[in-house]
Amino acid sequence: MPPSTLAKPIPKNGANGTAPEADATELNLFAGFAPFADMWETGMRRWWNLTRHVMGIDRAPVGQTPRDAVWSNGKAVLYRYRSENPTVRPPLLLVMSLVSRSFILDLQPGNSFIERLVAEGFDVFLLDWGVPDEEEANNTLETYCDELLPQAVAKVNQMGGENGVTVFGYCYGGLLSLLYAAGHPDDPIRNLVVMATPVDFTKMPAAMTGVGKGGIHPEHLMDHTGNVPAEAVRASFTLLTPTSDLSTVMDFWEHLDDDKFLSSYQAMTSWTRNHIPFPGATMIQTVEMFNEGNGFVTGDLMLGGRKLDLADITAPFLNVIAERDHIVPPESTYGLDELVGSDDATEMRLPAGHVGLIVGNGARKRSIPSMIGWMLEHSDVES
Amino acid sequence: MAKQWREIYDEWEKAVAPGLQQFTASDGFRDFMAASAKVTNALTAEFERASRRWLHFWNLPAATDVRKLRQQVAAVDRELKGLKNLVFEVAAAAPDDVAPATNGKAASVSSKPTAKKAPAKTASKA
Repeated sequence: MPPSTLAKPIPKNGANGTAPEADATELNLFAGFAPFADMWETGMRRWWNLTRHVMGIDRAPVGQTPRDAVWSNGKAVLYRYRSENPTVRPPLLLVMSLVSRSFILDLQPGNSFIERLVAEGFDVFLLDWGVPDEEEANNTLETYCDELLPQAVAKVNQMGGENGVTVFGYCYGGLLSLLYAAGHPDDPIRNLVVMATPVDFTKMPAAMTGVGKGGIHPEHLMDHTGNVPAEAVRASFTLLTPTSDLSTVMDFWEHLDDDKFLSSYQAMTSWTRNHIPFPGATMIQTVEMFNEGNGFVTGDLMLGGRKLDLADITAPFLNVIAERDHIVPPESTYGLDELVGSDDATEMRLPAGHVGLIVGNGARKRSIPSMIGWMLEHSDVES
Repeated sequence: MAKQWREIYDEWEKAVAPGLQQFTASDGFRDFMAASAKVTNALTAEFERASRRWLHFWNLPAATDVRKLRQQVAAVDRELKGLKNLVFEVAAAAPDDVAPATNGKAASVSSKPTAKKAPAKTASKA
């Protein structure tokens, strides 16, 4: 809907070359209509935006940075983002969480973590786990940390010129990265970065760790595929802030006439409302090892029948903490730099939420530059 | 004027949200969720049993039959994936002058489980 031309600003004084007296009469005639013209324009834009939102017309595209699939195993796919001339070595492997879609890392042009990394000269790879079904129901932590991640890291290392790999895990992807790094100390991990990664599960919100307690067993949550369905995953997030869905609708209604807002709203809601199922066997293991055992803190970590020790992680290490995170509260992530064995271990606290670390203005101005700064310091940069 | 409704909502939200969050984080709520999950699962199972019996009476497949088939296909897929990994590992471990084996005989050369095996190391740690 083209904006109405009725709402042009009306000059307070005479227009160029005309007598103020003559303009004044004209102004008086139209000035009274200006508020109505504004209302008309706003109303029409709201109506049009509502129509296109409901009908799915011209929806905000997500994940637009060009990329190529370079490796796959089952539903896990490794993407490499196209870059004219990557100047930063080693390559960077982003490891996504198991509960959400990976396009949050490449939300929209101008609001994309990956786009920014590529622009800074990184050779960016993304490991996307895909959407699990019956085939992945038996996937365990070993499947991810002993099979898929080592294979993906080997592939990235080979494609990146055998310089090692910076592994970057987000949320549960950080947990997987930690287990992998601890379990494979001889793998070519040049740097390890984890962001918004739960460590002390006793300090996690009840809605996240309630499974395994009070009679709720993981099996109760699983559907016929053997996985925890996406709706249950989403419900657990909703329970953290029960009014958030309603507030989102209110925001939508309030800013319906703002095209830019609508575009961001559509992009974000397509992520927050589209979680993916959580593999059943991994869920059972997570509950036992972390919800009940608090493995990272107690040191009671087992993978593939062997005991893991975070102290075996000796690569330079960065733990990125979101101080306003309500999903993985900051107090549940503190102290990880003390648990790993790296001499060069940093804890970076940033004033952001769980997603705000990588999406939005705060991310663009503060979080992303801070993280990129650390990674550049720990990489080789060709001039 | 236009934002008055928003202010009212924000006030309401500010008053209600903490209590709701406390409630959803409480043991009572967790127990309620556990009980409702059990009841839902039991009712679903009972309904499926009844409908399956009725459909089978008419020699028609039920959703559970399709589900079983899907699970079997998934199991076969997993087996295939495991075998594929095994073949690649055998090929990778083989000397360069030996062609990678891909036939059934070669695939059965090793019966080592693949799940616990790390891939070949390609570079040293920094």
